[in-house]
Amino acid sequence: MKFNLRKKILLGYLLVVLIIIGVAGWSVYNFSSLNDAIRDIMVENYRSVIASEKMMESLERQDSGELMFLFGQAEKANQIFHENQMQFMKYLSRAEDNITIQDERHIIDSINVKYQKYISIFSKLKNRSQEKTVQEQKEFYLNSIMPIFEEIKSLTMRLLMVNQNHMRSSQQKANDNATKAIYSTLIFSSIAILTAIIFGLYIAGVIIKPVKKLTNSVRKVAAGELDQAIEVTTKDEIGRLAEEFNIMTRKLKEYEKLNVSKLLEEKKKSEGIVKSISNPIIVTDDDNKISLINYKAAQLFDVKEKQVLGSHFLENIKNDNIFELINDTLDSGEEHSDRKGEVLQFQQDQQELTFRITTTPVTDEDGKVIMVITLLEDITKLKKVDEMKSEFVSMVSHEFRTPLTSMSMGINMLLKEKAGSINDDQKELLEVAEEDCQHLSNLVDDLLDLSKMESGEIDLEFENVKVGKIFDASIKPFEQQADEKGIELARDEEIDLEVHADVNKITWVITNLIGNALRYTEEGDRIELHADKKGHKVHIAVSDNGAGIPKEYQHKIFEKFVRAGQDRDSSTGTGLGLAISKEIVEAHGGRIWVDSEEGKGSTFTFTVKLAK
Amino acid sequence: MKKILLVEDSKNVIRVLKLLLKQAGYDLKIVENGVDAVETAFSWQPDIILLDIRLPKMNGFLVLETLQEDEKTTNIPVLVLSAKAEEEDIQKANQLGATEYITKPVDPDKLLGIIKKYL
Repeated sequence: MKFNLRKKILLGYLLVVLIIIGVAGWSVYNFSSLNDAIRDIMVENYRSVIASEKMMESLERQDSGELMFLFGQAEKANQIFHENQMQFMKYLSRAEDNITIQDERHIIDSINVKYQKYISIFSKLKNRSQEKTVQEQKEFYLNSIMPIFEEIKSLTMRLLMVNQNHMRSSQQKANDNATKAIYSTLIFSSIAILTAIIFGLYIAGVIIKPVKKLTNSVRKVAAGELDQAIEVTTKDEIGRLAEEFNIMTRKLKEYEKLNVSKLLEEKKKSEGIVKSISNPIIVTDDDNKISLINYKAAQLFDVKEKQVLGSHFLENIKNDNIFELINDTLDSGEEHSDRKGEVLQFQQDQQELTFRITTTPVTDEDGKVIMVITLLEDITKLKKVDEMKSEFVSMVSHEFRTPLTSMSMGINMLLKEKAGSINDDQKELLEVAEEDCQHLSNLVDDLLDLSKMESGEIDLEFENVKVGKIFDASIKPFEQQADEKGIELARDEEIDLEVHADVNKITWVITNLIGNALRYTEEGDRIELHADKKGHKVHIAVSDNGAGIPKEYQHKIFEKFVRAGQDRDSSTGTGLGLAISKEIVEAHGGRIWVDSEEGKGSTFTFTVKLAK
Repeated sequence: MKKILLVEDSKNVIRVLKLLLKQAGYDLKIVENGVDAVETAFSWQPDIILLDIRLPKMNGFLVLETLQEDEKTTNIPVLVLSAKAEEEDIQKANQLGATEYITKPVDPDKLLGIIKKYL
């Protein structure tokens, strides 16, 4: 039979209710039998006792009446006798009506018989009063009336006694019944209470035990132990709950398995990617413990991949430089990936290797850095090529300068007529030659500068400096030129902003930008210098309302030898100024860009770090 | 007449400078390598030396060092006239006792002005 929890509880309560009904019934039965006993005493026996007493009393009075008769008071005697006869008859009939005991009937019958005789004898006594003497009457009384009187009296007495005894036994019976009722009620009540308790415990057990089991399992599942299955022993609601729970756990397990395999797949994928990268890569967590290292990195630092995983970076890779960078990235959340990067030199197999270090932060949803990826780029060959390039450019520039020296000096001396007088046509030609000599000389200078910037050979001398001071220094060389050309050269006044930069290099950039602007502006135009604080950076802008740059040139204007539009023929620019500017700005960790519209002017903006 | 020793290996530069300096009225001696430069400086005792850095046999830096170490020549002003314009070269020359470092190409009048300053 299938009992669900509801049925179990209801059934249990039904049982308790039945027991309570039984106890109540039993009590009612006991009370009613007690009631019967009391009624027996009160109604049956007590009335008979009273009747007997009254009968005795009236009998005595009748006897007194008879004696009065003997003493000649006939009238009064008759009255008393008659009154008490009535009284006697009344109580006798009451006793007769109230026969409850076995003997009673017999006694009353005898009393009836004897009393009839008693009355008739008294009549006889009355009838012979005329003819008999007092003495004879007295003798008659003593011999005939007295014995019957005694007989009736003793019968009445017996009736009294019988009833009294019966009363006593009834009382005893009532007492017994009451005691019995107390005990039996106590017993039944105890049984009922006990049953209720046992049933309560049973129900609690039935409900609680599996619920406890379920709770434990849920707790374990919550803690991640998905192997939990509850043994389903009952077919009730809890059993069903357990069943559903098992289904849920199973599904959860399947889901987890699916996720885990997906995660594993992803993990293997990323591990595969990291391993396949030919550059050394080390991934560290937020405690600076190594969580991933590829073969190249292990080889470079001469460690075993399996041994270093999970241990502190410095424990295995004793390189403070890299560790500092990792820590910086961990603290700041910023990537260290300057184009020049931090460079690490290694002696390996009697060969010096150079690496560029890039540390990239990996953040969680809250933006907290949880991982740092350190990439070491082998730039040994690149560096060699760079060195070769620098050497080559240096050599070429030197080789150019020597002939340039004789050329420019020669032309200059001719122009100054140190070698004899010249005519105007000759002068014009010599001036063209001198201008181009100067241009070639500038080009050589710029080429050398750019080559050095590109190879990172130039050390920047950082210091905190006021933007206003840089602006002053940048504007000064152009004041006269701008004035002559009729161009207004304006700057933000009162610039208190301080930047962290190499003053000479940044001044060079602004100077270059102003120089460019001057070339693209005409009389009445305006060139402005601005500085704005934006977060940790300062935006420095040089803007003009001159010719502007055609759209097609804007994106490549920072490349080497790219000149916009009409400047192509100019002999003053080298075509390297913006390329050098870009190198300088990027070496400062900033960037440079242009906003321009043809015919309306251009704004060149670059960023530089705010002073610390 | 003030004596100028020109140490230069480029024939064309020599030709131009010879014209410039002779015209300016100086007594000029020209050598084309470092060894000759040192020897001539000792023996001839010029009032000023124009010295190139890239020289055959003995480079300009060595010449500078040698002249600086010898008391006979230590007081002679040396104007370095070089195509090398790198900061490190300028610094090196100054450390070794160069009076001025002039990068090629140079304006003739400017050169004459500097020479005049040390005579």
